[in-house]
Order: sequence, then C-alpha cells, then structure tokens
Amino acid sequence: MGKVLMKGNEVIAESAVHAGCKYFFGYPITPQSELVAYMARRLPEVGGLFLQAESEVAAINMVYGAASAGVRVMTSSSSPGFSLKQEGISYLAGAQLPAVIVNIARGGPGLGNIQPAQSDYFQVTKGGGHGDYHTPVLAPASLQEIVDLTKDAFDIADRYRTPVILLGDGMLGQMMEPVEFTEGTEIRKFAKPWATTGTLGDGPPRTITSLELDAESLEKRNWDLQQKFAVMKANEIRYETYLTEDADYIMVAFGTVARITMNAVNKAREAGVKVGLIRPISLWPFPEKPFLETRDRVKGYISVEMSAGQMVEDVRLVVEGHAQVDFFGRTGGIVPTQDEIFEKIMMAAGGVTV
Amino acid sequence: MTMKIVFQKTSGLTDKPTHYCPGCTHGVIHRLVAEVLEEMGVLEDTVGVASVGCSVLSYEYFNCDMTQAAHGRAPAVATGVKRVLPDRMVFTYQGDGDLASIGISEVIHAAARGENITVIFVNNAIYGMTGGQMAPTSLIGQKTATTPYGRDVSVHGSPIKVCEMISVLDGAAYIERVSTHDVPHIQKAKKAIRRAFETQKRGGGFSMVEILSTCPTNWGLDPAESLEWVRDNMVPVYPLGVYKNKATGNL
Amino acid sequence: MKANGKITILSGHFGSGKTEIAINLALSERTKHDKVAINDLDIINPYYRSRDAASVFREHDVELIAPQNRLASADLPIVSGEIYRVLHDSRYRLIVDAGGDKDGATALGQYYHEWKDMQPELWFVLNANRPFVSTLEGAAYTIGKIENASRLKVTGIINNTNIGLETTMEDVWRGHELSSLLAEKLNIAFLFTTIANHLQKDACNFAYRYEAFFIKRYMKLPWEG
Repeated sequence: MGKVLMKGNEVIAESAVHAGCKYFFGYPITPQSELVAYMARRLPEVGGLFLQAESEVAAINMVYGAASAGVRVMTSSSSPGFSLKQEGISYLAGAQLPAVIVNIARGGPGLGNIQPAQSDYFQVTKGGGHGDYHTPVLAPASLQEIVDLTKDAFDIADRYRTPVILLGDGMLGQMMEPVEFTEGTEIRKFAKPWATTGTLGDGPPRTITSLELDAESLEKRNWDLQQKFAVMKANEIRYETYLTEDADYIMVAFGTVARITMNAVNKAREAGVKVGLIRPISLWPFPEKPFLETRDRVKGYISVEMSAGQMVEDVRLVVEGHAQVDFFGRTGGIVPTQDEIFEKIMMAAGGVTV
Repeated sequence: MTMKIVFQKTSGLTDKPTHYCPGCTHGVIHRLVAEVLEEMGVLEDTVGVASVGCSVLSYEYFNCDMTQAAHGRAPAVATGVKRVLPDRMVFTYQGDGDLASIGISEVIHAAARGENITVIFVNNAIYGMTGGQMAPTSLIGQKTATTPYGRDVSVHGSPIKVCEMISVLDGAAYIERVSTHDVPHIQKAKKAIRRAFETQKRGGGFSMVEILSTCPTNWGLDPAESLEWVRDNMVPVYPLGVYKNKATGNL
Repeated sequence: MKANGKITILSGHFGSGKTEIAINLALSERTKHDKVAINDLDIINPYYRSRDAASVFREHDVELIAPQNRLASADLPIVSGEIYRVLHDSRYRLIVDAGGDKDGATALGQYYHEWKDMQPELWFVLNANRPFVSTLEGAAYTIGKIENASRLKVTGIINNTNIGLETTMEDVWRGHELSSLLAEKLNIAFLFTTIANHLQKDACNFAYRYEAFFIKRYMKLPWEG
C-alpha cells in the first residue's frame, strides 16, 4: 500500500485498526467526529465492533468493560467530552486496565469553542481524575507520526496495564497529509491472564476492581502503581531535539505548534540567532534529559503553547532556575503564527546583554 | 441410618462470609442468582459486574469472574464485556441508588439497545452504603437522612418505577418485579431470575429482575418488621409481576 | 476552469479537495462575470472551509454566502438564507461548495424544488488517493449516495487526485484513469483534471493531451509558506 491522503482523525482510527484494535466505543463531538464516523464504517470490515454510546461517560465505561474482557479498545473525544471520560480513566488506572483514549483538544474552559487548543495539558499530564495516578500521554505532530504513536500507545497500554492518552489539537485532527501504513507489521500480543472472560473451568474466578477497603492494602497498591510509573519514566520517554547543540535559546513546543515553532527557529537562525527546539513527544513522562543536558549552558528556554501557559510549568520544574524560562502562548483557538514566535525569539535574544 | 441431604451450599458463591446486616435480603438474592447460574451450568461462562452501593463487594461472593464498575455505570461496563464476549453470560448486580439515580441513563440505553445482558436490580427504597439517604425509589412520606420530614412530592417528586419505565422500550425482552418478603415470594424471585438468564442464553435481549429488598439498619426496623414493611408499604407502590416477556408475547 | 451554467455545485467524497476547486472556480468565473457568489454549504468540516478564504473573496469581489462572523466558526451545521436571493437574481453565477460524502450532500436536498428547473450542474470531485474512493466500486458507490441525498444527478467528474505537497504526476495519471473508468461506468462526462500549481512543469505532457487546470491552494497550514 502506497501513500494515501488522509485527515488526522482518520489516521488515528486507521492506525488503531492496524494496531489490532477492533473495539471502539464513541460519542460525537467536534472536532473529532470524523474519527467516530471512520470507525463506524471501518471496524465491521475487519470483524470488529463500533458502538455509539449514549454519552462519553457510558463510552469510557464500555471501554472499561471491553478492556476487562482482554481486548484492545479505544475511545475518542474532545476537551469537554474528555472531561466526562475522566472518571472512567481514573477507574481504568486504578483497576489497571489497558485502553487508548484520544483527546483532539479544542478551546476551553467549559464549552469553549471548536478551534484548536493545547489547554488540556494539565488535565492529561497530571492525572486528571481523582487519586494518585498518571497516564502516559503521546502527542504526535504529524499525521505520519500518528501511525507510529498510536501503535506505541496500544503497546504501552498492554505492557503496563494502563490507560494511555493520545493528545492532539483540532488542527491535527482536521488537517490532511500523506501517510503510509506498513502492511503486515506484527501486532504485539500480550498475555492477559487477569482478564475476566469467564473462567471456562480454567482456574479460580478473577476479579477486576479499583476498590481496596483496607488502608494498608491500598497504600501498598498505590506504591505498586508508583513503581510502575517509575518504570514508565525510565522506558517510555520520547522527544526530539532540533539544533540544540550550539543553541543559546531553546524553544519548547509539542504537537502542531512545534511545526510552526520549527519554522520560526529556522528564520531566527537565518537572522543569526542561535536557537533550537525541544519537542516533547511523550508529555507524561516528561522528557527531562534534554533540559538537564542544556540548562547550564543556554541563556533561556521559551515554551510556546496554545494555552495560557501549562507545559511551561514542567519546563520550570526541570530547569530548576538554572536558566531563564519564558513563555509565549495564544488561547481561545488562536494558532500562534510563525512571525509572532520569531518576534518573541528576537526579543529574547536582543534583550540579553553579553 | 442414612441421612438425606436437604440443603447444601451453592457452588455459585465463594466461602467468604458476606458483610450484609442481619435481615438484609442481599444475602438471599445473592444465593438465588448463584443457584440459578449453578443450576443452568453456566458459572464458568459467566462474567458479573458489581456496582457501587452496599453490594459493592459482591465480586468477593459470586464464584465467577467479576469486574467492578463505577457508580451507576455497570450496564455500560456489561455492554463492553458482552460485545467482546457475546457467548458469555453477563449480568450486573445493582442497587436502587446505583441503577435508578446516578445510573438511570446507562440502564435505559442498555435496555433500548436490547443489550443481551441480565440486570439484577435490588430495590430497598433507600441509599444503604452512604447511610440511609433518600433514593429515587424512596416512598412518599418516607423519612430518610435527607428527607427528615418525609419524602414530599412537591419537593422531591415521586418514586421512579423502573420496571414500568423500562418495559415500554422495544429492546427490553424480559422485565419482572418480585419480592423477598416471604418464602413463596423468594421462590418466585428465583424463577424470575432463571427466566431472565434464560432470555439472555437464547439471545433474547435485555432482561431485568427488580427485587424488592430490605434495609433493617437504615429503616430502623428488626428483620421481621422489615419484611412486613416491604409487604405492606413497598408492594402496593411497586406492584409485583411480569412487566414484559417477549417470549410469551406479554408486551 | 469554466462553469457550464448559472449554478455549479461541487460535491465529492470527504476530503476530495472540493473547496480548493470551488475557490479557484469562483475566482475564474469572476473574471468573466460581474456577479459571482460562492455558497459555503459545508456542514461537515469544522474548519478548512471556503468561508476561511473570506479575505480572498473580498479581494476579488466574489460574494461569500456563509454563516457570518462568530457563527462562521460555530459548531452549528447552519446554512445561510442568502442563497435564495442569489438564485433568483439572473445576474449571478453561483458556485456551491457542499460538504463531503452523502452527509454533506444532504444539505443540498433542501434546495431541490428551488433549483431543479435551473439545470444546476453537480460536479463530483475525485481524489483517488483517499480511503473508500480509491477503487471504481468505492467511487461509484459514493456518487450514488450523493445523488440520492442531493436529489440531483451528477453531471460531471473532476479528477483532483493528489497527495498534498508530495503529489507526483503518477498520482495525476492514476486518478485520470480511475476518473475515465468511472465516467464510462456511470455514463457521466469526465470534465477535466485539476493539478496544483507547483506541478505545472511536470504536467506539461499531461496538459497537452488532456484538459487540465492548474489551481492555487488557499487552505494552508500555519507552517506552510
């Protein structure tokens, strides 16, 4: 199969099918409705099941049921709908059930609007629901990258028995780019002896629950979860750097904004400013290494986001005051322009006296 | 002298002693469900979905694979399980706070879809777990922790009659309300549960048995008084009987 | 590129490139006619619709009929009532940019009685690099669905086969072949091929043999020059 021209939302859906996901429980919301519609048409072709739930709340709980039955399963939504799924995600994390949840984020808070935004960063990276937990978050910047990261998302979910968030913004969901799917790549199979599929006479009954009445037992379970998160932190960090080796200033951006920022970086380089870019691909676990390696030699970092400033907090946490950390963002569905970001770089560069 | 076995424990329940209060009929209802699953020979093919409420720990008592759902969401979780494993027996075990209040949407839509699952709905007209607050099924005039002056229609509205409501949906295949207030009714309840699971077994669609139950602790009545309270106060508001049976054309 | 009559409706499968063609056609029509209106009937896409090229239309004095101002980007599948004025004003040429697939074409159904006697042209835009329409069966199926929903017959096929900036003439040729087969199978006219401006050099040979129009892309992503 050669390259095809697809929409971001379609690519997520098709990538999930390629990753062996045959179950999808969805509920429409702009700007991710194409994903739901694509699955409705596509899954019956591969012997899978698409079901439109009565609400996002029901959808995520259907995912919980399907995951407990041991299959790869996905649901998707956009910001307000993702909030509704948050209770279920906490339960999935607590009961250690694997699933992939897509958030094609839009302007908020509340009903906001349907334009692209990255203002769900806090929600997806800091747990989002109640209790001590994190979910791995992958943030693709191109449609081809969606293909790889969707597959990774399912593998991470199964390997660690955890819900995994695939985060994009409306632009990523709606834009079209050529993509290529590699046919016949092996789908990794993970044994799921814990799944409640009916015992079929093979061993004692199994239970899936996030309830633990005894405080000491719950504390132990929570430390076990934290141990699992530590392993994920060691193994599942993904990022990309661009021209950071000699950089005086490093831009930090993820998803579509990283592509705009990269253009601004190139333009600033042409203007003689030594600037680079760190693009976190896993937003949780947050890539600390490229910051630890550069924080003592750069003059500053500038986080560019489609929010009022969320990822910038994680940047400050890892930079720990070793360098200036600055922020540029647009909200409400406004996409920052290359020129605005360029101006910001030039101001930072010009404002520093040597 | 040979002794005749007149009673033995069902293999559908684990050895774990239940936590239910004396006089609470959850224990009886657990046994009825377990006996039916055992007698139908489907225990090993069954996945149960526990809910939130006094029966939250039911997954420790039913001797089959169990998964525990968020408050009210058991029918959605059961939908996920059943859609993946259509040849398994899938049931939910829910109380009236879980099913008729926070989870009313999930149960209605599962029924509307004709989801081929069985819902065991235990109605004792009160929130047990959280300490005796008003449930959607609390009776008019009933005093609870949140209706200290009694349930007032002008303030709290009227009790929700779940069987009546669900039975009008085309996807509902078997809907019956039974009670546990005496032995003949308990025997009837078991038959209803059996018919519900048989409906599922033949792919008939959504089945639900609403079982009127007691809560001596939160009602402030002893076990015998509680059973009388069900008979005298609940049954008149919640008439017993088959509300729908597609198999016999009782629509 | 030239319209055949007063009303030209651009339909197609989802993501076929209707909007870019509609914009190019509207601008081209304006060079020949005093009054040209483009009606954005896309109720499917939340962004990348012809209303997003509003400044281009202003600049070229093409009238844009679409939900205005804050409603332009609202999550509301609404259409403007202005179309009736334009339909019954004989001075206007009208280009209609419908949403993709039968779901988008459904919004056309409401005008059936209004325009059925005006011989509206319904063009089907094909990008053979899109899922579901890369085969003859898939494309024919989609046309059938669009015809049902719009209550009109497709009167022409446009080959717009591309893969964005990576398009090669191979794509164009393949699309040409599929469009020809499709036109033959359904007995519909194969009108022309549209090719992105940047391929003008490579397309010499093709454009010499077949009718082709070079189009400018207006729906650009923020990182595209």
